[in-house]
Amino acid sequence: MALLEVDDLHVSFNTSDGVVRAVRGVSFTVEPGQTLGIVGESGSGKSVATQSLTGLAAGAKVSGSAMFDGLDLLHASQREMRHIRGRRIGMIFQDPLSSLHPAYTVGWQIVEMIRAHERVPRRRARERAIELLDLVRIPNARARVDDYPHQFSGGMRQRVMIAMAMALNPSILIADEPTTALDVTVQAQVLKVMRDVQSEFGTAIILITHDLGVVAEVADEVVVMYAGQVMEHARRREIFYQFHHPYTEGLLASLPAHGATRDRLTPIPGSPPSLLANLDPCPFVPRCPYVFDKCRSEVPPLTPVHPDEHHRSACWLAPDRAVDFEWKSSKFREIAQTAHE
Amino acid sequence: MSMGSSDVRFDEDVAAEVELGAAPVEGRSPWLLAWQRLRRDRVAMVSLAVIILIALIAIFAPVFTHFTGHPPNQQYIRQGTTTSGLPLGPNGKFWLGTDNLGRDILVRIAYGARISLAVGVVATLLTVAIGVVVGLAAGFFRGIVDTILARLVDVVLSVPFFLVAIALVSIAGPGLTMTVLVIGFFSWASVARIVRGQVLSIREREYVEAARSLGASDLRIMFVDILPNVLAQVIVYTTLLIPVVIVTQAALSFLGLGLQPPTADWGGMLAESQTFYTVAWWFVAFPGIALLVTTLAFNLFGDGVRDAFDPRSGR
Amino acid sequence: MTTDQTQAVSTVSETLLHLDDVCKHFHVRGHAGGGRATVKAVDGVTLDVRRGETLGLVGETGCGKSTLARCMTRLYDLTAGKVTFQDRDISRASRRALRPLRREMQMIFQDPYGSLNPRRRVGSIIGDPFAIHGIGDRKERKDKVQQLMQRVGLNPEHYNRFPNEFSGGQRQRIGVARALALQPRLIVCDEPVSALDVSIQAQVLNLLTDLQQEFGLTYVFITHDLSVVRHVSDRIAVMYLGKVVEVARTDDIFEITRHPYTKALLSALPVPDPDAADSRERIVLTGDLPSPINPPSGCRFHPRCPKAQEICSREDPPLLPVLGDEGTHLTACHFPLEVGESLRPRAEASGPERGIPR
Repeated sequence: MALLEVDDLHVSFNTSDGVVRAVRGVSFTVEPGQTLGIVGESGSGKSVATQSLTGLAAGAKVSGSAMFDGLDLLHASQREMRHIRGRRIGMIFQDPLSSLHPAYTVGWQIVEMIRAHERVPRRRARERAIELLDLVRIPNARARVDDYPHQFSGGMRQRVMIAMAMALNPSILIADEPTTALDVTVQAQVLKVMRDVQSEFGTAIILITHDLGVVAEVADEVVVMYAGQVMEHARRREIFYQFHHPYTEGLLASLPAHGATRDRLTPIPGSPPSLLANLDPCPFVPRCPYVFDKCRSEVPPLTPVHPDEHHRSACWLAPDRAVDFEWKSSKFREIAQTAHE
Repeated sequence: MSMGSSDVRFDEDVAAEVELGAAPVEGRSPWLLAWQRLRRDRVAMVSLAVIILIALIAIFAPVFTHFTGHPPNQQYIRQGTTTSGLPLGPNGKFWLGTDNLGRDILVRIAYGARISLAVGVVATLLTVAIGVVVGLAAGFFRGIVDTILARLVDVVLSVPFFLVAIALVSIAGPGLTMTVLVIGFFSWASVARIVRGQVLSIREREYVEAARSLGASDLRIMFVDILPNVLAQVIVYTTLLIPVVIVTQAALSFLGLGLQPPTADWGGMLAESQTFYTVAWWFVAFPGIALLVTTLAFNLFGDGVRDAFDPRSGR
Repeated sequence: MTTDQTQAVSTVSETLLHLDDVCKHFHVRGHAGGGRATVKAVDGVTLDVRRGETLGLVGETGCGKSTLARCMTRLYDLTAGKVTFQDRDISRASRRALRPLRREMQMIFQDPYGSLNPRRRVGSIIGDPFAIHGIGDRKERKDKVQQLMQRVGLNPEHYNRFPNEFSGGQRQRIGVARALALQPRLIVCDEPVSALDVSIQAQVLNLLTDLQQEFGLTYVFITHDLSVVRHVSDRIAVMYLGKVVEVARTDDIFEITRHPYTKALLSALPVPDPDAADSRERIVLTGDLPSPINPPSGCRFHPRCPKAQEICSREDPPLLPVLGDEGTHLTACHFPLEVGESLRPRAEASGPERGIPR
């Protein structure tokens, strides 16, 4: 039984330049205790999608459904959402410095968080705060609970955020680029804490990132987004070793780590589209080396990829393309070579 | 759940997600974009229309004389005052009534607009020019130059305006030049402070570093790289400074420190109306309304300009 | 990034830039502890940059790599030490004396949104180098600028546009064009692709490779992204808290890792490969990066180092070849790692992990 089922989510904004359709029909599910990685570059709509789930999308027009424990998050009342946010769904953001209030101690903030949702005496809440700081490996938690955010380093602040988000034991933790602003060694610490917290409490995690390395480390399931739509949805190993969608292929091919030779990388030609514009049925058409006529006229639905039903890709290419994929025969590589000549 | 201002942050995120991959549009300079934003601001456009109207009134003040047949300083004791020598209310001959000397208030307001706008604009431009140069120098060169200039600015700002104005006028005598000088003397300092602050932050930007790494000279960096970026704030401040100057000039006249009678000037008219306001409301009301509308128009326009340059500050 | 990698190794390459015990300290006021403090951003770095190579400079926040880059190009004055460029000592040179040299060394900056003046047209920005050094008249400059734009993959017709009309990747290309204008010998790239999307990063990296081959450029490539640096560099220098802890050829850094910090850095790097991610040893360093205001005594890494011993807190290890390495591989460690040796993670401890001191 899925914990969260998002179906056909559309989010758009009215701006002075026109209507921005940031999310154009996204569907995914989150199972209990599992980590779903949502991967995409800027403009893919990944952040907007999750923020609209928790009602943080100011001024957005939202349609579709997001069933969470019998409640449709997209059509819930303010009161219901306030009850859900923090208690049932926790969130952490990219920049802990701006998410934590600079003028209150860390302990105070956690206590307020707890007491906003549960009738707990202050002392009990404070003890819980110390427990939480301990859980996220803040050394000397009892002393540090009275410190201010600026007295912590970036990595520690992010761990404090995790502590706050976990305070009421939510079933889902949404982490929006939690480690992007952190150094590599600090990132490793934070990811480890997240995994430990997950294994201890069975929390499901939705991890939004542009870093495929992080996804390879941490995710169980992966959703690849581009221009507001889901391109591919599969388990971790499938995404990396048996991907189907040309965009996924292009992303992986362009990584330096996957570069076959030292000299040239294989980028995806062109750049991501503006979300103001009307896009082709498949938004990747302008940059796809495998494009053919059908791509321009019909929207490719998320179809299962042979042989795994669970693995879906929004592409008209044959379903069995994923199997036996050869990097050597990648059309991206071909294009990169010819461009160089 | 965090207690951060997630709404604000979210807007920026959306902007970032939207801006990416925006289809390149033809040569839309930041100035053009600001102007387009301004055009859409109805309040600002109405205010601009009012300002233009007032400017036209000022320019075509002689037209008022022509139509009514009343020069601004001409006293009409017989037609324009009551038998007991009090001002006449609005009537067929004097549309806005007369003052205690039988002068046509409508015409005087029109001529008063000339003074207000002229002083407002000229004095402001003068002070802004001085303030920008000082602010640029102080912010860019830091060190001893900054210390001296910044302290100078502090001194000027801490001087009580009207007391010094009175003192200066008592030495040099009142008048138009004096007004402009006195106002200019005090206003440049606040401009300098703002510009200095801007320059201090801009000089740390990467594009300034890039210019240095190319070998650009200090002067070039100041005028080619820093100044254009300071200009936006300066323009906003200038637009908001004009109404302050107008009111200050009116205040000086009101106190008898500025322009002297019989010159038609809103502040002076208000001064003269003090003794008569119980019996002649129009004598106070109309110059007062003129001053109010002008100041309000400039202020609202200035707000619009500020929002046009920095859309996030308004909401 | 030259295809002919052997060239960098076998022939004696000419040294383009030489840094000798360079130090750069900043004085800050109003430090949390009150009073004045000194940020030892770069504290004794000796390094060579050879003609035609790409030297990668990696490290985390506070390691001083950006500061070092600016010391190299003399955007900063040195607190101590010597910088020699093309056999000329430029450590104390005045701004006037440096001006002609600016044509030979250029920088590309990290932030595509901050490194271009938003109020200037792109043609004017790229043409700045010509204008500053008084080269060519208006027409000639415009031609050159448009040629440059074409070379870096921008449409020359967009000469009159403003930076806000370009995407992040295009803005970086503008920065590259600007750096390239005077045909410098050395380009210091300060995190040039870090702010870009992955698919765009590859484009810009390819561009930099092509330009290097075409113009015979030398790059110093600063980044925190180890996979990128592996791809672009001939040699890599790893920095920690103002000092170089290890420098070697790229392959050696990855295969014969000597310094524990380098090893930890490599193991912390997320790789986009699930099997590799599952199977490798993960060393999670305890504690946080200390502040460069108060660096630890002796070897700066010792509070977090699993192999640290008493001598490490007393003596700063010198940077030299260890364990029989070649002259190209230098390490600053009292107990460098053998090949294949694993770093035993240190037990969780309180103490030197308080992060930023009160």
